[in-house]
Amino acid sequence: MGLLTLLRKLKRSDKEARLLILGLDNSGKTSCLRKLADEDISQTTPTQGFNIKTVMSSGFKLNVWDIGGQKAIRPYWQNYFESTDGLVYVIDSSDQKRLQETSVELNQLLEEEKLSGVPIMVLANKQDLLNALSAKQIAEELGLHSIRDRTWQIQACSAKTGEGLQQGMEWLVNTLG
Amino acid sequence: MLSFIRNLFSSKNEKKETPVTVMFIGLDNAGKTTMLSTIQGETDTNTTPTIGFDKKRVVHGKYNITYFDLGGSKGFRGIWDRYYGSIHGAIFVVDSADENRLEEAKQALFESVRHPKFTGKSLLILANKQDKKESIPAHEIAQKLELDKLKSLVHRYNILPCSAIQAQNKPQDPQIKKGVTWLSESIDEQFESLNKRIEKDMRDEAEQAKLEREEKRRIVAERKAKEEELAKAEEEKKLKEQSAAQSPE
Repeated sequence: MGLLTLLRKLKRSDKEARLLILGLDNSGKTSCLRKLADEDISQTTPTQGFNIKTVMSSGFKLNVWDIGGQKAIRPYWQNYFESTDGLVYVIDSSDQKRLQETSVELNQLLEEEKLSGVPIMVLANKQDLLNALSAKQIAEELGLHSIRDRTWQIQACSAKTGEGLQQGMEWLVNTLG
Repeated sequence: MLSFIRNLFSSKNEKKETPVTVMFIGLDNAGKTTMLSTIQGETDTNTTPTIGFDKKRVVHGKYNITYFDLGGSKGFRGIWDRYYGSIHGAIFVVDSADENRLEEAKQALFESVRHPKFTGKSLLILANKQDKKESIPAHEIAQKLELDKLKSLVHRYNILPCSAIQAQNKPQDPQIKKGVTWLSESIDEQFESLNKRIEKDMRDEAEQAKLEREEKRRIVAERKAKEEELAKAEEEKKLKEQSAAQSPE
């Protein structure tokens, strides 16, 4: 191992990042966060305010902020934008009716000055449901290809089974690191 | 004096690198992301499969190259064509050690170059993973991919054998640099016309994206109005029922 890689690895261990989880109500933000923290998700109720959890991923200390997604409280999202290192945007892949709504919200986030250049991990959640759209279909529907000012990634996942969540976080950590 | 200052400024302008956009294509696990980090001069090759988009800017001689890196998995390739409009050229990375997937690679390659927004641009093919024992030499890859059929489809094409994974403490495979130089020179040959073409395509795409966004916003607003109307009607109905119950006939 070269000295540089060694130094980089050492430096990595005390790295910290602030992540923001956003998305429509009922997309599964809190469940994703709880699953990542190895907690029970069966008792999850709609988030009125926000949850913060510290999750370790590949030696990274992630301070994750999960903000309620109901329409009435979406205007408060902007209070959490400051010094965000990465954005996790959660989508209910089984709710085709609300894809346009979530797309409009995402586009608004992309125009936020405080979030400019912030990498985005789109979690195509609820893949355990039969009628869930694939990550590729979601990418098309959301028009993700028009995001050119930052790096983004879409990950199919299920907060219920935990599938895909870890990969999503690993990518974010790799990108930030 | 004035002309001196002017000269100073113009020479400064001349020094500025020419911006060029190049896109990586190729099957999943071909090594596109690793190739990009190697071009950037990084040794960290622990990449996860890309299912998204990344861009990196690297200065190469007089060119300032923006590289687009996109996922190559089967389900994701459909999104590539959304980027063709804005690129000057492309780098197709192929895993030389994976003979079973060369046919699939060929199909993906030709689907790309046949796209109207791609045809006529320059293409560098990097026969990657030559460090592996079972790798096939570049000229054989060229035959298997039927690269001679590219002649009528692209401005120029070239294939080079290389290995993106460099042994630690060894210098980067010179073939990669050679390839990038070749590609930027081919792009330079048709730079003016390419730029015009890209400008037009990007304008059209931006227009299209704007329309799509507006349409979505309209649908969401319409739905919201409908829901509010329904809620209001419901409310009124309730009030009416209440007042009917309260006032005796």
